[in-house]
Amino acid sequence: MIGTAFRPGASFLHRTDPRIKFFILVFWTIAFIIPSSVPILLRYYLGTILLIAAALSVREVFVPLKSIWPILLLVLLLTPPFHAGGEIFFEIGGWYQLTEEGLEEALMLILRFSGITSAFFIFFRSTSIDQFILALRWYGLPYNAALIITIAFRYIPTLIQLYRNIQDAHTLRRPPLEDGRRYNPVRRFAHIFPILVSVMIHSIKSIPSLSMALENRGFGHSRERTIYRPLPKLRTVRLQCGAGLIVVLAVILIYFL
Amino acid sequence: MKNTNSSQYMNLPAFRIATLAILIAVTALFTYIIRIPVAPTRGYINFGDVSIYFTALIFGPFTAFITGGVGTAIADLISGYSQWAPFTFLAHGLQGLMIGLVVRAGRRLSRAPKDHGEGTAEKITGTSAETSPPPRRPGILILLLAFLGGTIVMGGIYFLTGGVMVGFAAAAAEVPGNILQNVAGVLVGTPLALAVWKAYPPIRFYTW
Repeated sequence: MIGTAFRPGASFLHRTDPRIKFFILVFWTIAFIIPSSVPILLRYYLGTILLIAAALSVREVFVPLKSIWPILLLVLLLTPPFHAGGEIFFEIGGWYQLTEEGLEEALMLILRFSGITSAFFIFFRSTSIDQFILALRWYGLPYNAALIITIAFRYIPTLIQLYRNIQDAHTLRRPPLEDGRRYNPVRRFAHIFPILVSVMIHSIKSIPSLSMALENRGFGHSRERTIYRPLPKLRTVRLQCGAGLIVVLAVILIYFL
Repeated sequence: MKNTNSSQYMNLPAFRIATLAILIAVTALFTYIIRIPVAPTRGYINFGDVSIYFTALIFGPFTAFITGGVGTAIADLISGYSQWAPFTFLAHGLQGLMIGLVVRAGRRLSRAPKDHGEGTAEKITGTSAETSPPPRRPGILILLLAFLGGTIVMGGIYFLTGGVMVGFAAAAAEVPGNILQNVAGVLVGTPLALAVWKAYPPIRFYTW
């Protein structure tokens, strides 16, 4: 399997059942999306970063923000001019105004996006793809769909290696890159096209052998499924279910209080 | 598996699952790995849309929906943008569905015999790959409509979901990039489909 955000660990979040984490993630995301105010979103966001700091480390709080800061900057710059209500903090030439309402709207969007990004980050940091797919299966994802996703994850590193090999082979057959000439995207497209054709044909050629392997392992012979590493029965994780419900209630209370 | 050119074999669930899994992995590869810088500001075009156009043209709308949606969502998961994965699934899945439906409708409307697309395997049973007719190129009008449909669906979903997440002003800034992605998709994906079809004729037996 290819690497994701998941890092193995022994924190309480790593030990929490993925079904419960997934339920809370969906609920948490909805809580961030429904219209609310800056103080409510701030409390949700503080809750998220406290969870990250407690379960992982303080440094991990900044990891999801690293990838989204250009978007946050864009939100801060582009949102205020479209909301002109309230006190004017400063103005540039009459066409750009930073007003109280504009700043509030920008802050709300920043908190919402940072919160959702951090929530997804902490979920995938503490949940492996295998566990995630098992949780989706429990929520009703069909077996065949889960199998397709698992195989796709398994094949991505193989295809990456195939792409690199084909790229190297094509590079060897090409004259050296022209140093000093201006970068030309069209030429780059022209160079990459034969590689794409080769990668596609090689990938498609592997379909019959993969389906043969599936059939040889008895795929489709019976609808009775056994799972190698099943998730525990929900009654064995009652305490975690209770904790999950408390989190959900806390989110609702924060919204209404 | 005695004969890989048998249409019966292509209709087995194992073959369909293998096809979908490989195409999803290819879409994820094209999105995650193959990127071309287009500006000094480190902006780039990924090739996820190329794979979606390829799948929609060769395998049809529903395969393009699944592979486009899941493949690009997986690319989001592995590149650390998991918060976009549900929206990406919708945007690119429906984009593939739209492109495939437009191309299929265009082929049905034209009077020439259908040579590929869904349901072809049954129609070409008994013909060898070498004697099958070459693929009919989708007309410029069909491609243009597919491009417009795909761009509106993909760009529209990203604009709406982006508007909710980061505000419509910031979401609007992403629109030109999404259009550029689609331009690359149709300009590279269509020749790719034709080239693969020509270079590897048995692919016509892989559709259902």
